[in-house]
Amino acid sequence: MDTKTKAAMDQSRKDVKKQMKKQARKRFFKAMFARRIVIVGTIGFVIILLAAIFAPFLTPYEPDAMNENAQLALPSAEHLLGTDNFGRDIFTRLLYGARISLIIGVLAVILAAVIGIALGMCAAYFSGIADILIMRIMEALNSIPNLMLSLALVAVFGHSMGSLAVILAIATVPTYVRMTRAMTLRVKNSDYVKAAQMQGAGSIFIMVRHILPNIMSPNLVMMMSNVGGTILSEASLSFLGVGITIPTPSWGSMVSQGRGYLLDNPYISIVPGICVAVLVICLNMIGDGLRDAMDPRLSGEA
Amino acid sequence: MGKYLLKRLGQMVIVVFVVTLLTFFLVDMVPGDIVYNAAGRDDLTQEEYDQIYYELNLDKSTASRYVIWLKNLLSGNLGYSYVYRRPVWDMLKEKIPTTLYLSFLAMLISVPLGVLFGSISAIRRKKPSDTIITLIANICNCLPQFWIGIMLMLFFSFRHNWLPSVGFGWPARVGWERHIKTIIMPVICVALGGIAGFTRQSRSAMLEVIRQDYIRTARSKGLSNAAVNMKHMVRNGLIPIVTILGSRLARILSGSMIVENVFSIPGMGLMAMTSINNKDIPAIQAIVLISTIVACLAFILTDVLYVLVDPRISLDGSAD
Amino acid sequence: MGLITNRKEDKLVEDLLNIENIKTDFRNSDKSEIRVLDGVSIQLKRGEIIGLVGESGSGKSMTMLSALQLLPGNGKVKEGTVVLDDNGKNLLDYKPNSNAMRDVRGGRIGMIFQEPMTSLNPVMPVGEQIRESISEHLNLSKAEGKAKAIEMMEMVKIPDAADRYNEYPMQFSGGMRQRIMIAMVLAAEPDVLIADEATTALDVTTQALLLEMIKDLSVRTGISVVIVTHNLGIVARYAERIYVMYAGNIVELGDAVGIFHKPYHPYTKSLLKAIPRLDDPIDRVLVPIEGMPPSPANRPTYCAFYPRCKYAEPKCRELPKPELFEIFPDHFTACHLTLEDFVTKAKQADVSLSAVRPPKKIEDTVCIEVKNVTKSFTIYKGLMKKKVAEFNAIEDISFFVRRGETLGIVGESGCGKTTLARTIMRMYEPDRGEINIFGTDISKMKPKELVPYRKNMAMVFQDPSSSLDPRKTAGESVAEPMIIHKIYDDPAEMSDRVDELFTLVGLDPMMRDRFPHNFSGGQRQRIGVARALASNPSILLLDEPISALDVSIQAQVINLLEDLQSKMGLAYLFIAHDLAVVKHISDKILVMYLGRVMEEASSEDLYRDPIHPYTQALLSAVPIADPVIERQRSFIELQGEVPSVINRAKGCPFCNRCRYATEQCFAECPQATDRGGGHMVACFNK
Repeated sequence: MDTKTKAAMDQSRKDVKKQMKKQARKRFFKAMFARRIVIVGTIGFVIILLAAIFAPFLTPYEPDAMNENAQLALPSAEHLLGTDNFGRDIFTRLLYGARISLIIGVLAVILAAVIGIALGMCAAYFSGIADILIMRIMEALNSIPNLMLSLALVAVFGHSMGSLAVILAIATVPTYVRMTRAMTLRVKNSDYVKAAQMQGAGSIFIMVRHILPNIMSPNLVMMMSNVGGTILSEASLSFLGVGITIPTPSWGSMVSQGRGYLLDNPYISIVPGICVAVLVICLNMIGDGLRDAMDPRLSGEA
Repeated sequence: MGKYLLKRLGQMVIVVFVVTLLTFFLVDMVPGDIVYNAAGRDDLTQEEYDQIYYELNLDKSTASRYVIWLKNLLSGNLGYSYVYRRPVWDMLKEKIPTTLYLSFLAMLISVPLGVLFGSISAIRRKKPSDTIITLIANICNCLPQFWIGIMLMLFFSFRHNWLPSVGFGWPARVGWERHIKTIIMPVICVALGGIAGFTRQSRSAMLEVIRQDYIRTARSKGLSNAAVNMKHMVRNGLIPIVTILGSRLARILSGSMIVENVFSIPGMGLMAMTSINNKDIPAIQAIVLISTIVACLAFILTDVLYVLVDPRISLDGSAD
Repeated sequence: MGLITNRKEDKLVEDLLNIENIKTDFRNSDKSEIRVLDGVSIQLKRGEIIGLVGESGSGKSMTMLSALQLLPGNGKVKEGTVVLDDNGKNLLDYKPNSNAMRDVRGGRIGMIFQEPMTSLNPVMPVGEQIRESISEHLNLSKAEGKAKAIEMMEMVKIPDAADRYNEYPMQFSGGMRQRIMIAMVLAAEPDVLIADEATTALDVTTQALLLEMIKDLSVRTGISVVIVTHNLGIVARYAERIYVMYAGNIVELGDAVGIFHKPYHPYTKSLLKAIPRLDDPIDRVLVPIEGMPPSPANRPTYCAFYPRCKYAEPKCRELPKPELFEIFPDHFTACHLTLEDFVTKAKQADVSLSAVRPPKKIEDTVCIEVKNVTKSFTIYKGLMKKKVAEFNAIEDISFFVRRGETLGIVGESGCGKTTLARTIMRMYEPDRGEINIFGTDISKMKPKELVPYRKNMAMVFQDPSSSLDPRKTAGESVAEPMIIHKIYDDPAEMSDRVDELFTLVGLDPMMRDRFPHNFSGGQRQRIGVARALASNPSILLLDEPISALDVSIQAQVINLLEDLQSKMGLAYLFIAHDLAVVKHISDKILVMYLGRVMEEASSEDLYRDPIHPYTQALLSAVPIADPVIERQRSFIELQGEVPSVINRAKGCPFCNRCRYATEQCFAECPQATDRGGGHMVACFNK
């Protein structure tokens, strides 16, 4: 084969590759957004995300700027959703509160997934003592009710954003470990891993080349569906007064704060709660879409 | 079966042991000088300080304090609460029944309703009734419990004054009418999330069953829809629901924590909050431990239920 | 509808079930509709056994499910009539769950499904499941129903039926569960029994037992049977009339002898040329049907077989889809071609078909020699890892394979063939024995020392969908052994080698960047072969390499393997349960039963002169795709089912099912002895 035709072949192969990638992407998005509700969820999420990012440009107020002249004001042109008992603008605090929810939610999920995947793979791949040890600890961790565990951990690690993310992560680690372990075992017993082993491939080779890529997508789906749950947990913690340190605005603590003024300005409590619900619903919708796109078995179902 | 239970109890002992380790060393890491917490005030003389210091065995290593704690635990001594100035066990004896009562009532409502809605939804898949049930369940599943509580309170107590917002009491003390009035909102609040969860999970469990080959076999026998649904579908669909039931039961002491907080119900959840806020270490340890033991028992109960609903387990080697 | 009028003239009275012109659509997730059945008509007479053959996706099961209104939720019958007893009532006019339809379904027409493992309700005692069917359709009291259920269980030869009434499906083997299914269906005393691939998942001997039983029942009770299967041998053995389906249409129908001896439709003709038969002459060439059946979504408006048809004429493309017409008496076909067309085409086609089998060159070099290999497994139970059982999965296996030679290993489930393959590949360390690769014993080597020897052997797996990593492109999978063995430093060189391997197995190298799900089953198996060849091995272990493929595709892969062997002088260990395929491809055959070798002989000798009672029974159970020959054969009925290896008898593993067993057989295990010309048999009495 002369160089010219070879170059032409390489070029056409590259084109094919590009096209395959494009097709795969198209199929993915088509499956993901096959249901209208996923599109709605995604739009909702993008709006909340943008609002959180551009919070300073969307409001003239500072989130913790108190105004003694406008305490417990009802909604008006000046204060879209009124003010709280310190005269802080509710709308502004909502925007900044979204940042807290999103950052803690995403951070906690990533942390939990990284730890969970690593432990789960170790448990499945090395079996024996490592497996027993990891799984027993996970079982114990899983037996402590989540909220109890989080509360106890808050008492130890405090209320900063970082520690809250760690605390919320610890509570969900066992789910990742269990799923990763099961998936790893399945992949480990598959014929393609056997084929590699029969050629003399080592553990690291198989882990990196076969196991990791194959356990990633279910984990991604689970991560996506866990973000919502984690945001709910964070809101619950801050509602109970053990979340992020006051006066940093957080939706959960805002609801709690409004309890005393339900008759004066019910919006202080109502709106943040709705915000939590809407954000979690949107995230769950995206999660469902992602599951549809990544699991061909479920397409057309549910 | 008996042997199997024994084995599961054995496993539970291991888990609880690991949990005691986790709890003790975790709570032991709580920052700050616990001598002041234990004393309940800051103005201690050196003498008083030293006395408490030794009483708490703070001069000994963490490991030996763990051993002492464990020994006390085994003899039924859960410690002495810094805040309430009473043995923790006495406190728990008062609080646990309230929480259990609230949670059981909520489960009594949420399990049958959830399974019912889930089954209807699965049988009528992709029909309007399914869409509506699924949508409502999905939304309810995302509503924060504390927010539902406050909204109920806003509507029923503040706007209309139909129900009291706080002040739970046992019928013996406050009479039945008052008791029922105080319990309605908390129970609804806990049950709503439960119904939503059970609906979603029963639906997917039933859908999984519907596409099994034996359902087709049952239809090919000429059985009526009702017979296929009741004898074959629901019976098999219940098996995974047992697991969900188990995980709900496991949270029976902690699941109502937020609601107790919203409606000021003096249960374990409220006690937990108080203990955390006051760094009442013996109480925290006891609460975490008790709720874990209850969770473990719930898991064992799940396994027993499993054996009852699924003959495959007791027949399989793993169960004997 | 010429077909129908013709039928009405003579055989109207006997007609029991008349399925006419069924058109069934499936709705996709994107709401578009796909036609899966395009006007299927089937007539069934009282007491008759008919066969409905076709590959997966041809719509054979869908036809039956449509008639019984058992289609899954997204399927819908658009047109057609189903008439029972010729009473003029169209069953499809009934609502699926109406009483009238339910009386027919189960009561008049019973159906047995493919998967015995999942077709019974796991949480209901089997007796109850049979009784449920009785109380639905017969007017019997609960006690009478139970008695009848036990009677049915006895009829299908379930030992200790009364005691096992309350047992659950998981306490029964696959074959036993399928018997229970049959009992359940027959308990309601239906007139028609539909067996939808009912024996496909079972071992050959069990399959034959069950089908013989169904046939006996049909003769005794006058029940009509529809055997739905992809296996041409089964219909040749049991069916009186045969319907051949392709892409949602009946393409040919006629009496069994006519279909097999005077096939008219090119699809039937090609299919018969593509499948290996047990009685094939040694130089039989398989003629594969190129391409694949069209997916229901892309079926053409013209003849669906046109793209794969060797006899196709331009008119086949221009004319609409052909309708069935009577070509010979009682023999219908749906083809535009005339007899003259065939004659002229056959002349041209025969020229192209006269290919001979690639030359066999068996050299004297022994590639692999296995000596007395034994591998045991221990079953542990509980937390303390208590040893509950130890058994030899394979015991005392010896054989050798030379360059260019193929050794076939056959046996039913549990015979240890997969354990043997994995032991040879050193996934397990054998307890005893030697595995010599070109004279070097690798049986005790450590993983590191093994690597260079691994390069010399590779394996092709059964299930092409699970043997390729779904997240790796075909090219990456093929390159993997070269990466492991660090064969090439230059990625460009390796890339060229991948192209070369693709071409070698008959795939376009341009397809190497696609992922496994973009390929068909046959293509995936080719990728599997390419990967196995990547490290340039001289020994290839083929573990059921074609059993997951459609019959029309199997020949493609068999021919590829034979071709590669001839070109590269490979030594093959061909493991399979399908004796016809093994006999076709192998030079010598090893028959295994519960971990031991029963008989070893050249494939011709084994077929002509089987000596071991097990081999004889096995051979007799395999149906031959020729009704005339089938009528002359006798079937050896084995007692019971293949037991689990763990419960193997102390003496000869086969002793408790053997007709000739003596006390000696129960006491000690016979060693293989040479009965002349390397024909080794492990039996005291034969």
